[in-house]
Amino acid sequence: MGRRLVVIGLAIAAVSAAGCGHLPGRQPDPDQAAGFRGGAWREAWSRSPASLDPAHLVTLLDAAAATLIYNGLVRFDLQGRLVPDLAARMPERSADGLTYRFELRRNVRFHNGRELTAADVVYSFRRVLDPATLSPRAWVLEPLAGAAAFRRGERDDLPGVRADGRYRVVLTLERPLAHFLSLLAMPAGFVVDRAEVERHQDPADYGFHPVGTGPWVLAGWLPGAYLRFHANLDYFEGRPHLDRLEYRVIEDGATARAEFVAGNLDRLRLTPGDSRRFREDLRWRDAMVPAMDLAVYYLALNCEKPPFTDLRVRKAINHAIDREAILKAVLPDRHVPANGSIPPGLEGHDPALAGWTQDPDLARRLLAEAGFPRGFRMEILQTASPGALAITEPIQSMLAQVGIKARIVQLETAAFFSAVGDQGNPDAFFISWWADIPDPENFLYPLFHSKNRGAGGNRSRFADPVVDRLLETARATMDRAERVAMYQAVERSVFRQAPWVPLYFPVNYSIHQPWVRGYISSPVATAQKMTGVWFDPEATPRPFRPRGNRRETASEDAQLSDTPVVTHGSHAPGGKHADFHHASRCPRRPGGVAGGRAGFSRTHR
Amino acid sequence: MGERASPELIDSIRRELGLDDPIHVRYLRWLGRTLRGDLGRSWATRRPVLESLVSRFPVTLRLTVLAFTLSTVLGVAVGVTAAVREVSGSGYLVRPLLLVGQSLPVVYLGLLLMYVFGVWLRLTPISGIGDGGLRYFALPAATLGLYGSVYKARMTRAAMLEVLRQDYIRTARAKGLAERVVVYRHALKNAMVTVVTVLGTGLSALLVGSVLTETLFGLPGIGKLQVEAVWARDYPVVMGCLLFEAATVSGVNLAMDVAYAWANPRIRLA
Repeated sequence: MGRRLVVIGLAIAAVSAAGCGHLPGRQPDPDQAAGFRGGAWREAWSRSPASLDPAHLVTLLDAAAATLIYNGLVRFDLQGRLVPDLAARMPERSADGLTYRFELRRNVRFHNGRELTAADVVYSFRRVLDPATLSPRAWVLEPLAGAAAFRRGERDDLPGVRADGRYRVVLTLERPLAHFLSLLAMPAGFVVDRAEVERHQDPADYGFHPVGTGPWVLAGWLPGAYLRFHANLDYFEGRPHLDRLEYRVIEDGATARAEFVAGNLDRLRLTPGDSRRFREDLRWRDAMVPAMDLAVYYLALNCEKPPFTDLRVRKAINHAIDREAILKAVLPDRHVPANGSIPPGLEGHDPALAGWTQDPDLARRLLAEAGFPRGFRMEILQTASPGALAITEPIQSMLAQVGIKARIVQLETAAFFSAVGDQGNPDAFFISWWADIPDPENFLYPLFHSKNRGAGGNRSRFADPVVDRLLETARATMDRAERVAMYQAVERSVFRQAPWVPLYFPVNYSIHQPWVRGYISSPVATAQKMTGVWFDPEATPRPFRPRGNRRETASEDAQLSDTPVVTHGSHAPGGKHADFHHASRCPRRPGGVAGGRAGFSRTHR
Repeated sequence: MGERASPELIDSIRRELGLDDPIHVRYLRWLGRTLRGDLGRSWATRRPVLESLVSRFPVTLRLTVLAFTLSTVLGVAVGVTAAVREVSGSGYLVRPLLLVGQSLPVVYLGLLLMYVFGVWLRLTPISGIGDGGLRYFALPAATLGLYGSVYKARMTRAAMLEVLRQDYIRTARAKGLAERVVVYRHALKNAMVTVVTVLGTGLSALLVGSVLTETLFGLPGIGKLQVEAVWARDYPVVMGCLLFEAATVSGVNLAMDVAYAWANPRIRLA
């Protein structure tokens, strides 16, 4: 039951097909990698992780940091395939789809030297579900038998997780769930050492002194400044190529750019302002690497509130808007237009899915048929963000052309989510959805099942019994191809009913220094374990010269990059870009690097 | 809690945070805890707020000492020179420069210094705290110091011009004192009354954390803590920072009132 998040190459192809892609300059050559060891990786994060306790990880950044330290039973590799991690091989699943038997790898050791056993897995899973832990991620493991009652404190035993001997774990589900293994690959499934967790009097302290089995050991953490790791030389898959990692907290995009240009960062995640700037720069433009995010941006219509209860009105709004014109102007190279909800690069994405083309006459006719020949007034909610306004303002003027007078209401983030959640009753709002797991389920079940209406994810309050039934059947269908076909059918059926104006799938860019090899971008936050990345001592640094005639201001980037509080598996405001670790550089000479990399920063002044 | 928190979980957290009590009970509880030095726990990291403040303060303090010293020395020196040479080439030159300096946003000044000294000349680190060495403070302290010195120079100059026109200055000159003594012992000490006020507000502004500069240069001080807390909507930390600010500003103002008495014995602390 491998998840097949299509290789990033395919995502790149999709981007290029959309006429806005630039292929990366070099492809990693894994065979060659074996020869080069050593070096310290330097990258920037826009903020510190809140905690590195797997039970308390919420954001993509937290997950990206924790995946360096921990392992789960299974994980996603950089190609988006589900592969065994602490498990020696993919588990056996019983015929009824309820029981999974995991055989653990032998001789896996925590960073403190203790061997990992089945009891640690049981402890870790129980801990996440334990009501006393107050884990925001307990729902991830809730499909386990008895987990829901255990989590509510109604029972003390957890029959869904048990150890069978020292090296075997048996997981039992309440009911079959096709994407269950994908859930196990989430950070909530990371395995911790009980002794380490219980060593701290204050339970919050463990999150700052994490101990796992992963390829990197946390060596230093100054909140707001940096996180440093050194390689776990006893890592069960072999030690990483690099010796050290340093992630610096740099909030300001202009600072990060300065550090990168000076050669102090190995990778920079580009803000929209940056990607324009580097694209115009001949020395850097071919080093830009595009990647898809697992996300979709859309204008949601409230299907429970008149006049949006009327399909003709929802269609009219879709026909009134020319998305491509808006996106070409606002995010020229950072989007793939969306017709549905499943992003390209994810199995199940349907490039043939028909969208709504702009046709103001048809829109006016539909409105007249629905009883609004002269249009109506409506409100579009969004968070207070210039990035979002750049999308909603053109929408407003296009709606005006068919007689709909839309008012844009900007709200503070918390107020916005409350207004578009269970407490509010909005007309329409600009929002984005960020997936938990690379599975089409995550772009349909939470968003369109009537049981999730409101804050559960289905914020457009779409309800269709046929869709509900299909979604439930798909969740219990173990055959992958059949399941994907079902999800495509659901997507077609949902979007014929126009609960959204789908807008775009975001594309992000990063840029690497010329000596970086083996870095593969993955939209799955936990896939990048930094074990395959290495430095090429022969690489020539890019010519460095001052760009004195360029305007360098912080405001442009601050505008578009916004706050980096995208939580994964959830909604983010529209217009907020996934800027969870725009890269930036640290002012340290890359000394002590094996091979010729030391001294780079001196050679390209 | 994320999007999928169950009602039970939300309830248990409300209870844990004491949000189910009436507002006056919550206020009194908060006041009681604050007086005992318990500022609560961060919602994001679940650690005590006081701990974050204490761990971040040394960075801000260091930056303050450096920036304050630079801005005071530079500001007073330039101000005095500009006043003494009011009608000379350097006086005419300094005034428009000060005006430009005051109009330059601190972020722009910071970026300018960052690109010139960090990126092009490579004399200083560009940002961050590194091993905590002094060189990491060079650019942020220079930014804040230059920025602060402009206002101080303008105020010093204005105060000096006023004092230099006084009768007792003429008397001092008439009795044959050296110009240096007239300017520094007689004039400057009297001009300091105004200048001390400016120094005080400048000092408390630095001590409570320079939000923009710390963020721009990635220095983990109080200012950056505030920004992080606001972005994360981590209200206990935001409140802790504000309380710290209020206390610092009050403390510095008190110290300045005492300093007035030193600068001008005519002011008595009743």
